[in-house]
Amino acid sequence: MLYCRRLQDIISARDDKDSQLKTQAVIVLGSFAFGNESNILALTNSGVLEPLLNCLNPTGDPKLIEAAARTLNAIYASPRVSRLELFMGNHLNVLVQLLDAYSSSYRMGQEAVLLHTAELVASILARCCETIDQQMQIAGSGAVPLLMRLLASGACKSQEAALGALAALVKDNPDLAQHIAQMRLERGERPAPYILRLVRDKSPNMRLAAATCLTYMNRAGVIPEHNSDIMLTVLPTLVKMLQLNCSVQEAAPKVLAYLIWESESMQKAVCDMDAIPKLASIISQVDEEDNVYGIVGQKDKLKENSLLALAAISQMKEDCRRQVIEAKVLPHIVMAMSHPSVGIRAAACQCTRSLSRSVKNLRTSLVDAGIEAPLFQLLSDSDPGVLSSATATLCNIVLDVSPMKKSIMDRGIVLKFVQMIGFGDNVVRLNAVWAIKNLVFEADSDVKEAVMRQFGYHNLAQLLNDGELAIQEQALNLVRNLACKREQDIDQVFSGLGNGQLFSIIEDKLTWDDLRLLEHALYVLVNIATGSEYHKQSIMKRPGILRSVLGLMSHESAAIRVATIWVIINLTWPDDRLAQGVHDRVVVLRSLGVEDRLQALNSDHDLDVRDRVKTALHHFHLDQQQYGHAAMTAAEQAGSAGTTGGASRYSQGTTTTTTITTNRSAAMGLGQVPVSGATAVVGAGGDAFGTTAVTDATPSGVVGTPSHERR
Amino acid sequence: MPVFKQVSPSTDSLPTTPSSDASPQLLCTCPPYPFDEHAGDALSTVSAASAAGSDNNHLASGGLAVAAPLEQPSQQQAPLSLPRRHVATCAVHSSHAMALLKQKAKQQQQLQLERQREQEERRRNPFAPVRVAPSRTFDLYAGSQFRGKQRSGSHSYDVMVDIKHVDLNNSFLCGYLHINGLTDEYPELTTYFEAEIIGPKHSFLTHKWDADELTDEEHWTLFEPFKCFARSVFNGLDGQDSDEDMSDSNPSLRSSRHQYHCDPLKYHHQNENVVFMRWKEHFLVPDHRVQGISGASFAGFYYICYNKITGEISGYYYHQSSEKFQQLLLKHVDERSFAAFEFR
Repeated sequence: MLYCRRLQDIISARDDKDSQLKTQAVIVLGSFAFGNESNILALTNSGVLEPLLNCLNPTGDPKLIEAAARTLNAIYASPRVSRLELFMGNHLNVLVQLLDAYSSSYRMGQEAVLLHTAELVASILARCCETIDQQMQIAGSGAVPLLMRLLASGACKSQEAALGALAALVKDNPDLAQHIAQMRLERGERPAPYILRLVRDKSPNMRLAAATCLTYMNRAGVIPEHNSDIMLTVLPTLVKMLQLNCSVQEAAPKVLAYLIWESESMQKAVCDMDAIPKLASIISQVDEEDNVYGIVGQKDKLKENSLLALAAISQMKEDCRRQVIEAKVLPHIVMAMSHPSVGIRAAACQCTRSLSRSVKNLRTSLVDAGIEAPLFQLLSDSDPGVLSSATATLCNIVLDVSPMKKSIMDRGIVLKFVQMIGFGDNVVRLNAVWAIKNLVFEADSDVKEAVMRQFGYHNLAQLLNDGELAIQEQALNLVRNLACKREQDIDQVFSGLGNGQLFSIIEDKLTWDDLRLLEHALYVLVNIATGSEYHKQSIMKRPGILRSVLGLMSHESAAIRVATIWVIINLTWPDDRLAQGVHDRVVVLRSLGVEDRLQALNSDHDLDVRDRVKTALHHFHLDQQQYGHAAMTAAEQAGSAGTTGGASRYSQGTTTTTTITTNRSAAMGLGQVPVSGATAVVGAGGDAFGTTAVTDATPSGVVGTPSHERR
Repeated sequence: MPVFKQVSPSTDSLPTTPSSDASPQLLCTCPPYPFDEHAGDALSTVSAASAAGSDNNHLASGGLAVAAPLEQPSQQQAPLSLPRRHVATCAVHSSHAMALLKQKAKQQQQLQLERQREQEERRRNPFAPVRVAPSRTFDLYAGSQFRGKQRSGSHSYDVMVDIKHVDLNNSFLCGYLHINGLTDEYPELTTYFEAEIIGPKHSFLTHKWDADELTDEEHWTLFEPFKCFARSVFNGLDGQDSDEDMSDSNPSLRSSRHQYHCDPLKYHHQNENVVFMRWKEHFLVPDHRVQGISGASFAGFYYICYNKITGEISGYYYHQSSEKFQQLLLKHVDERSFAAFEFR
């Protein structure tokens, strides 16, 4: 590294006289950088970046600039090199100017050098797009139009380099991707169709570069008009690359995985192109070579990427998962879970996660392949990526349909999860709560109790107000699963969280604009409302909750509407023993306007909603039959003058006196209502006093008095 | 296809970072209340309920709902179009609208933060698990149970079905089928089955499992609700005939029935009261490795018809060498509480 200092001195020299010497020095430095990563880091540690960047001065010798660009490109190949210097001072602007190979500073006989420099610069930029900020700064310095020009230059290498830089700019940056997708090339064409033609280029490298760029644009959602082109051109191109025995084979599976990751239809399409057997044979072939030649590591990346592609294909469709099992690649996947390479372990875990999204696989092939032990082992992995995909897989392994649930619980998985919730990163914490939620799904009371003894309700309470909404959602789902099916289970949750705290949390969640939070919060209520009289009364004592439920009955999502109606159904469920409690609730709900709202939902466009509404209204009807309904009877008496068809049971023109009289007489006549506080209930809840007197009278009448169920 | 936030397409200016404007817009979801006269009872009950709950600290400290109705709202103050009952129960029009708006604004900010975090997370790990929402329709949901009988000749066996996973998007569901007393060796026999839900993905015509069109026809037509499909499924698209048949009926009815009749390809259970399925058993539970069982076989499959409204399932077992038309009759086991899991 002593030479290195000397070389650095040479290129740092201020005089421009001996640019040839400088060029030579830069080239020698570059040759170091083409070695391994530790060489590169040694170079950068000695401060070589700044002088190299200074060599890019556009007024300088083009040969020197080209050499400096090449060396810088080699250095930035290492992701561990700091990108800071490049974005400081004027370096970025200088660099971007060099993209302009056809500028006014055009010098005869130097086209080739200038063009090559531009390619190198494009490649450097591609390697310096790690953060949104970097992407934005590069775009902000005017690189994009110059890259477009390079893209349309027709020169093969330049086009590849431009595609590389554009891809890096649009990757995971929807805003910038949108901007670039809307730009126009010189002839007025948008970039996407132009790049699509390059996907059919004869050079595999060009095809890969073009496919990669379109992949990132597609996942950013900015070229929806090209969906069918992606399906018909990009997907088959990438699948065919799996069988090319050249450099593109290594990267292609990862691009493929990236492209199809979120799209079920693309996963199916790739599956139909027989990608699964191809990937399976790559993986088993790499394993075989590793065994035979013992040169471990050379094809690690290929194997990792292929595993990732398998994980992508089998993520959403059972048919695709079946194909992976049939390709007999599972033993290789399980072996890869203990591979020395971090990337391979994580990718293998992704595969098992995808495959374990199936009841059938959980019951059969995954048990046969013995994934439990290696998976459990990975919980002690030091790599966060491996840990997160291992914990994600475990969410499925602990389901009740999985025969591995019991044995992995015996290994102490719950305690592991609890520790992770305390100390893990947010992804791992999310997975751990998710897993516990899945674990108590349909579980017996003693399993729930044992889990919560280890987990602790105070921890659950904290998670319910976690900074991450996703974690809140899982915690709420956990409460829903805990307080399910049996009164004693609901009691556990009540005493664990304290019902004041529990309902305050639910009340808060019901005001959120998040479908999943809303649904779980509502089903917590649904489940609690199947419990004892005390459980039901606890809900009734929260006007805020009742009001939210009422409001959500008109939610745009049918699933939410169904959930709200279930709350009503359960709160009004006819119960012989405690008919009075049911009646009290009906009265309160009716006076809140629930029945009217249900009537309105009678014509809901969703069949499921209408069906549930029928049940709920039936409960109100039953109540009415038994206790009579003040307003209804009054309406009948008044001859329903002025009432227009079925909109409401309340009449428009009845007087207070008739209402009371009718109601009383109806109730007494039926002889079912004892003359006690309950009579007041009927009167107050059902009629139209509408004045101060009632406001004063009701509190004791409606909910306050019937306290016989209180504990 | 992933959907991202759309930024305005512009070719000459760089996109700006997403604005942090989170001005909340509450929508009033209250149905119109045509009658003002009864506003009072809603108000009084809200206050009643809250007063009754005042032993709870949270409430006593003045939750959002409590204070408002206690004031005597005068008829004049409330806008004419907003009856008081509506005011009492609606977030938009209650007198606490400001507090609610502030709360909403705060929540929206957090939601927005959450979205940004998601985007960052996505950037950090573009291969994060994609969520597959569990689906349900009526009594077809994970955790649902059906009980009933299977009749075979003069014998009848108790049957229970446990639905374990439903993926309507893929016209798929699966579960366990328990049957009692079929053989001495296995007094209780449980199999894992998968369902093909007839619809856009699976046709009425089986084309496998040794079932030809004749088999399909003689089984599907046993289901009353299938009758209207029968001809179009098994005789091809006989448009002319059906036109003739219905020439005398009312034209609007005809057009709807016409489509119904002639295009089983457009059939989707979403729009119907019944769900047709094929159930195929695959292996024994708990030990999937057990191969043959003497005296019983699950080599065939069931034609299934589930009625959404009655919650009943009827089915017919078919296997080339088994007794024909063994009937399955099941009823949904009522359940009023619902847990939920989700694959990761």
